[in-house]
Amino acid sequence: MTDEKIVQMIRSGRNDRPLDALYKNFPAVQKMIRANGGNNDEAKDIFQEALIILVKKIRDTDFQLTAKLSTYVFGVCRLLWKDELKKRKNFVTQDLAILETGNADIEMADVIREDSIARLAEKALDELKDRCKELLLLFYHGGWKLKDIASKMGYSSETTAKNQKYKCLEGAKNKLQELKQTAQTF
Amino acid sequence: MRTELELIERIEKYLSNELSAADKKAFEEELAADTSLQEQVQLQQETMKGIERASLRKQVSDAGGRFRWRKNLRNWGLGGIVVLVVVAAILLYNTLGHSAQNDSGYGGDAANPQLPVLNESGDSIWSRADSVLPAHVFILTTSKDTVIETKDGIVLSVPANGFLYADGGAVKGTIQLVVKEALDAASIIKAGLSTMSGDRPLETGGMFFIDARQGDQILKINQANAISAAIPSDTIKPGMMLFAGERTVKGDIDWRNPTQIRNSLVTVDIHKLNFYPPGYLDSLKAWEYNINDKKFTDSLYYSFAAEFGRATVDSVDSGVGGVIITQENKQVYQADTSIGDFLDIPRYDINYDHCAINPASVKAFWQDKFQNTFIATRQFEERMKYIHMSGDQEILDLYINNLDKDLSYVDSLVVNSIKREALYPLVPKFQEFAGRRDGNVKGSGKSAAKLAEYFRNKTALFTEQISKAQREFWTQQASLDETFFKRQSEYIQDSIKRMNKNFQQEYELNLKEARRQLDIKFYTVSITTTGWKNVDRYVEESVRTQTTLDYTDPQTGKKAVIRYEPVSFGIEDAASFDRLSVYLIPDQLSSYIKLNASNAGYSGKLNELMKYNLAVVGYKNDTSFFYSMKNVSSQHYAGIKLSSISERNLMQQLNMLASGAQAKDIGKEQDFLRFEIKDKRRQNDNRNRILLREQVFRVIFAACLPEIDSATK
Repeated sequence: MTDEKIVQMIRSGRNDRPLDALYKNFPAVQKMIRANGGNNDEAKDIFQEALIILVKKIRDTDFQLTAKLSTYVFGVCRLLWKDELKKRKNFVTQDLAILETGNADIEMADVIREDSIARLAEKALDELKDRCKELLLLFYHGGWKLKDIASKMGYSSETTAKNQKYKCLEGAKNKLQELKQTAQTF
Repeated sequence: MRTELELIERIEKYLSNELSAADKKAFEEELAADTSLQEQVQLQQETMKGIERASLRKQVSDAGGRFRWRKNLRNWGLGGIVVLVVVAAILLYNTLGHSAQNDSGYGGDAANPQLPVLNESGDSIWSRADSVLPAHVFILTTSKDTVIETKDGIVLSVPANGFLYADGGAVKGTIQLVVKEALDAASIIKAGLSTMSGDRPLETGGMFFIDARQGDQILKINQANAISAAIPSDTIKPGMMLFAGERTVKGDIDWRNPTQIRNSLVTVDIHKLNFYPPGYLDSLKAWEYNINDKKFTDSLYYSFAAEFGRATVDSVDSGVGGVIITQENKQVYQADTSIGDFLDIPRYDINYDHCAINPASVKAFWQDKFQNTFIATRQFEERMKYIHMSGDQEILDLYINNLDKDLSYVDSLVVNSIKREALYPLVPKFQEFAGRRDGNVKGSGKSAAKLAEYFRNKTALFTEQISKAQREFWTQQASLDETFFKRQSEYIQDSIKRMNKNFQQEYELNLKEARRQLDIKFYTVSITTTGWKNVDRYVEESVRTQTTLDYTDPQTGKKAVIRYEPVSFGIEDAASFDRLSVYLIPDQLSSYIKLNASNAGYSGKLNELMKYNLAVVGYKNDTSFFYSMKNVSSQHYAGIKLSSISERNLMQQLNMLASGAQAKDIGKEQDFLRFEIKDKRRQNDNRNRILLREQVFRVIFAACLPEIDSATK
């Protein structure tokens, strides 16, 4: 699939095939992160974060392809991994030539910043019960009707499911507030 | 609902702009005054972003799963060591009750599953696995077919009326279907499930438990409508069997009664099956062709084999649908805008082998010879759809080369053979096919090798034959096009010549008369040049415009008048003729005048110096019609009715009306018009043929279109 096609499909909301295509960059990213003090799991996390950010960037901004998409993927991975290493405070940038920042990276830095609250909110969601998360995802992103959710998840009625939905939303909000406060404290 | 929840609902409506204008205004006023509300709105907005991000993460992580799976697939391709047995436990429970609620007795949560008092067989023995694995309870309606996918990916197809009460009566209403699953090593170990059958170890492909209840009533599966379960697997290992679990008093499960997982297949008449590409028949039907005419649908589909034969033919003269474009016929067609467009279709210089199945190979197996193989089954018919979607000839070859093997075994070969990324989306489908355990038909295998060879030979042969036939057909059409074009231009040139000659003769006739009237002696020296020119010019103009000449010589005061009078003919049912020609045949000219149609019929002018006869010739299909009249005078003749006439008789009639040369000219023109009628029909057929082929091409070669797009960019 060409980069143009990937961008076009993401913009039209069809992410599966573009993500499959982008995943081809994973082995190289994995190699880079391992060469810079990370392990396979960390490489996977960083890579998936990068794909999320790239998809958001393509979808939510007037993103113009000025370099190959793989360059963007690498750029974001580099930035994210640098941040991670900074947190560990054992990182000396200039030693690691491979982590040199490129133009595409700078372009992506904004999105990464803007994304940080969404990231926190996602973390809040993760701390909810699985059923809560499932319900919210089904409703808000799967496009499921409450009636179908009720029968899939075993709620006695649509009203129960609706009630439950708001309870879960409430839980997520409270968690997010906690996380935001914690973040400020540090 | 609690007030806090109501607030959340209200914020949600505000954020998604679902509040009425009044409510919105009220909310915004409240919002402006209340900082804690502001905070809540912001928090909720952020939470929604988090949900969106989580959904994105799920997509990304799914892509990761597919990626690892593809990588593993390649690794397994290298390995190829196959081990023993699939273990699956089908434990059937059933219970009664008449509500949609889960009152089956199964419940609790992952940490603490609850069990009903009695197990599926109606006694009270439960194993450790029962109490450790959480139950997934699905509520389903027995009157409908239902497909369920469990958390770990088991796909259960539950047919309508699939359950019976203990007394054998059919279950109506909703039931609870309970599934517990342990598909990966961790869950199996955690559940304490053994992988032993007696004292023999088993290699497990996953274990699961099914029970069906209606309230407290234990249900049985209706043997006539068995549930089909597809258990996810990274790779299909031959020899897997289904074991039934039996609980021991110690709380273990012993695996008993292994059964081969295999369905034997039943053949149907191969000619009743549909092996065309998906959408082919539907499209033809939508375009109002008769799809029950298998001769037509076959020949149309098979003709596309020519696309695969191009490597061996002169690629220059075969385009899409084999249209041959020469400079000449392109011009002819392009004069006609409706056809110019598609004759400009570029030739696609791509390799079709990887995006479409060669129709010749479909022809090669859609034969009586394959009646007793798995080809002639509904099961293969279904696979063929996906083989077409893959467009990969090698996949089709796998099936044909393994006619003696179980269908599902071949499915698993297909799964393991897929290397091209473009085909990854089809892998789950072929995995599902492999999981169906479809076997083979009885008595297969005897002639499998011969059939495979037959298939190979015939595919090559048919491709060659069809390509050749197509090529010859279109070459011949191109030369017919050229003949038509030549004759048409001859005809046009003849017409121009004829009109020039008529003009010249009529001009001389009129000029002579004008001079006579002006009393100009031709060879008199006293005539000035100017005077001659004047007369000439007026005469010329009068002939050219077919209007009355009324000229007074300025020097002598003499007048010259030559009258032109209008005449017109109304022909009955003029529109019903394929061609209609109305001729005025003047006695003074060596050729004829062809009248043009106007609203009032066919009209012309009569020169008072000449006498005219009328001949009308028309054609409907291949029949000639004729009408004639002598000494036409200036008036409107209405209601002229033609009668049919043989071609020979027509020439005789023309000879009676006209001089030999005139009759010959008319005969020549009519020859051309008859030829044109016929040839237009041929051109029309070709045009429709090309249009249809272009449409069908888009269906059959759907998977090639992106490649064509990029090749033509």
